Amino acid sequence: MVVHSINIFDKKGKILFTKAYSPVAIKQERYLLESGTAEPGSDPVTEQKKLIFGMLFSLRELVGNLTPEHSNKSLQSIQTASATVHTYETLSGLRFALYTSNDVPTCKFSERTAAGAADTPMLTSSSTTAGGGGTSSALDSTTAFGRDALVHIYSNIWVECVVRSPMYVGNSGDALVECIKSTSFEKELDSYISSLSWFQ
Amino acid sequence: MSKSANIAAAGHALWANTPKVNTELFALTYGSLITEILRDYDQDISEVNVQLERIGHSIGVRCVDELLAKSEVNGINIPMCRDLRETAEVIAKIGFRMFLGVNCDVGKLTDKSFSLYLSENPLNIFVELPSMSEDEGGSGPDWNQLKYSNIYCGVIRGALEQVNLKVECSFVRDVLRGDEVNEIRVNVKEVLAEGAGEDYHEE
Repeated sequence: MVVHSINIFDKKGKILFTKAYSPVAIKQERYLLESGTAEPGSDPVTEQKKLIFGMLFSLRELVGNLTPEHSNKSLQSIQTASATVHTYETLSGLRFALYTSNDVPTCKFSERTAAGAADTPMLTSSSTTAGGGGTSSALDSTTAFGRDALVHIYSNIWVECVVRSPMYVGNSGDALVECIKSTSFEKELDSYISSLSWFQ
Repeated sequence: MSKSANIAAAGHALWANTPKVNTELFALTYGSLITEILRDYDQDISEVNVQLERIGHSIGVRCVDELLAKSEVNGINIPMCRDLRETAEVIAKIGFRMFLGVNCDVGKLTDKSFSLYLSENPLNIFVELPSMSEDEGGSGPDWNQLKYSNIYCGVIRGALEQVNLKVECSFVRDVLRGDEVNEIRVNVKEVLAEGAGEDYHEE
């Protein structure tokens, strides 16, 4: 159970915050930087993050169109053979994306828990997970959930550190990136993530 | 109907869980803020109104995330508002109740605007505006022009801006000027487009 990295985007797709935690992720970033074949003037790591945002954005539109009316239309996680992205989007347009290894379930009521990664990518959105809460006996109160962690990061760390900072001017823009750097957001986030039972 | 009952219940639950501050402290601090601003701008009432709205805007920008975060923590789900009426209800029943503990009603709803009625306003509990005496004539500031609680207009404008609604907000009736209720009129100017920024547009 490994947390690879976390990315936070604003509603326009600007990368507000990104951090890699696991050695695998850090190595991958370094590899990208060294061998990046991106066009001059752009940084391959940023390009990769933008791809992530683009994917989340397009998938959200797709999920919105596929979900029946009056149901919750949110994209919860995307799972591939090597990693899972847990996503959380707020009504104010903030998007959180957490990359973890495949054995971290997304949230308490997800049917697809630790059920061995398939070879094909798998999407979960909230309308497809029927109320099968607590069906798996392997789940107990200490099992960690990716999306719930993101909700906690938003409600407790983002709001406490960033929104309440005097430098906050709104939920998009360059000033916001500076604002985040000036708060203790990164430190709080680090201590929260390392305190999670499934972090290595 | 059950939807509005849910919204009202959400507001009450959130109010119960927010840390509280003494109302008198709040009202008196606001009063001294107004006095300071009046002093800074040399009793220019229209400028004071503008500054109050600007202060409210900075506050409003933070309120949305605060409200969403607090409701997540308390297990309350505030879904995306599908029309202006729902937006108005959320502001009135959840926003005002959670942050101030006051009752607020929605009225005069049209496609692009609504009114908020505040029967009790914690900011002006000790306030009375000085009256203009006849012999002063036009020399003193016109206190009737002072929008004492204009900060609310800024808060609403700032908050709605964070959720892609550009609005204009103003006080149309004020208890300090002799009306029975405080009425804030909110007009939607524009719904901002939600989309990825320039970096993502294809060439």
